[in-house]
Amino acid sequence: MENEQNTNQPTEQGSKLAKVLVVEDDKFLRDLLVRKLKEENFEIETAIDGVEAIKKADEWMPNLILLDLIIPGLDGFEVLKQLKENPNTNKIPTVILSNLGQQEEIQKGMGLGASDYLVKAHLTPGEIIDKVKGLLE
Amino acid sequence: MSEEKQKNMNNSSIQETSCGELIIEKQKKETIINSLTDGVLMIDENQKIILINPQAENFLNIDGEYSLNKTLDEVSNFYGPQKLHSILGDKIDWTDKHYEMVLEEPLKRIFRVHTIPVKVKAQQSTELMIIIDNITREKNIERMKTEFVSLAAHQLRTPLSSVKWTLKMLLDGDVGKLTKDQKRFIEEGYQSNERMINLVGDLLSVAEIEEGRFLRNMTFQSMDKIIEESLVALYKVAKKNKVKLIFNHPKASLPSVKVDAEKIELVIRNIIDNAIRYNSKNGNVTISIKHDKINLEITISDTGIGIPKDQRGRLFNKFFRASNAVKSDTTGTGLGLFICKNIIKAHGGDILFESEEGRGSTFKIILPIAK
Repeated sequence: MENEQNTNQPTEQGSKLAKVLVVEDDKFLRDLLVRKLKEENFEIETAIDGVEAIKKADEWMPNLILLDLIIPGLDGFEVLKQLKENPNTNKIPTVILSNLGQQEEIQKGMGLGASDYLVKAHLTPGEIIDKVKGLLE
Repeated sequence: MSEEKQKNMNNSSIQETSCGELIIEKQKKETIINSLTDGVLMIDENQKIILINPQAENFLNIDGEYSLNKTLDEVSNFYGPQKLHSILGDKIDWTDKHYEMVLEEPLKRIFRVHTIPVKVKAQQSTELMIIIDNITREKNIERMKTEFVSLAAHQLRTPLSSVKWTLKMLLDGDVGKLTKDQKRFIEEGYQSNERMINLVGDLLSVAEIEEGRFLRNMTFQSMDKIIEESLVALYKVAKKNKVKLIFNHPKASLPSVKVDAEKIELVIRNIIDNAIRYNSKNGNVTISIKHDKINLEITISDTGIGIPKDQRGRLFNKFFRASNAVKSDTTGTGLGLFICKNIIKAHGGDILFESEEGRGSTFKIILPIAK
């Protein structure tokens, strides 16, 4: 479904679209994020669980990954670990976007090589996009 | 009866009484030790077990009679004593120490083991008391609490995020232009939701404090930088409340402090935020820093409503809000200062305040200077 919409994205600026993989199991949150990111002309793929996230990261080679932590199958920490172990995906900046926010979890995420750790409830979609843009520059 | 005989009789009766008293005293002590909920073992200077109470027999799953006058090593063909011996380092150390012991059989239990050397004056010898405390339940509760906090954070924040993002996108006009009235309504809803998000955040901080594992990333920091960053973040709130923020920059460079920067910023923000929120219109918030050789002192003064005299003692209590604060701002959680005090205390510092109702309050944050 997302692929279909991707083809409709304008490319008027001539610059290559940045590809963002959104890993989020909550359908509503995912839809909101995807909508906002598409407004900003990003090319989007989504994954709902850990296994799908790893597969899509490896095949689609996004420029950035937004990664939720509590997702079905492999959890986000495990996904991040595997992404960083794979030479094909270990350079893709991966931003944790979760509602877990204890220092223990933040340290674990950053220790595994996350580029940033964002707590969903503390940021608006606009602020999340600003962070994404900042990392892609 | 001769005088001599009389004297002798008296003597022996004195001895009899004190002997009887001693036996009663001994029995009393044994009854106390035997009815303790902690396991107790006494080891004499030859490393022999000279006392083992029923609870210790039960914890270690051995027969008391059998183990008396044997060393721990000699009974270590049994699982319990063998484990105990091994956590003590396979030796008897005559020192005051704490250990943690996990027994897997007959079912998994966790114990705190405390060794205490006891000097026996009459015999001029030292015995070792070993106290075994079953902390399985505490440990389980601790683990469950940590899991609960993570789960609660996730479960509560997910719907709050949905509401936040939806309302924000509506406000930003992402799904079409809103009328002024609609915008005002949604803005109200957005602010209510923000309050709920703050409350969840505060509750999680309290849970972390109560688990006693609060400070993580201790680094050397310059306080003026942290204050600057807090002021930038609070600029909007100050403007909205028509309150002027004044930072008296220190003239000389400050000595650094070793802090958990994220937590300290939380404290600074919280106290300045209070100073703004409970200020009067066109009021000021003045921040200054001074230091001596030992401490750094950050002073945050406001020209606000102050704290009623009779309520000052409860200011740092969990969920406490002063009556005038409740009236002037309905949105506080009553957790902010409790969290602040705990963070500063954990850094070895303190928060003090002076206040005059109707005139304003001054909060002092004292932090030890890094050595």
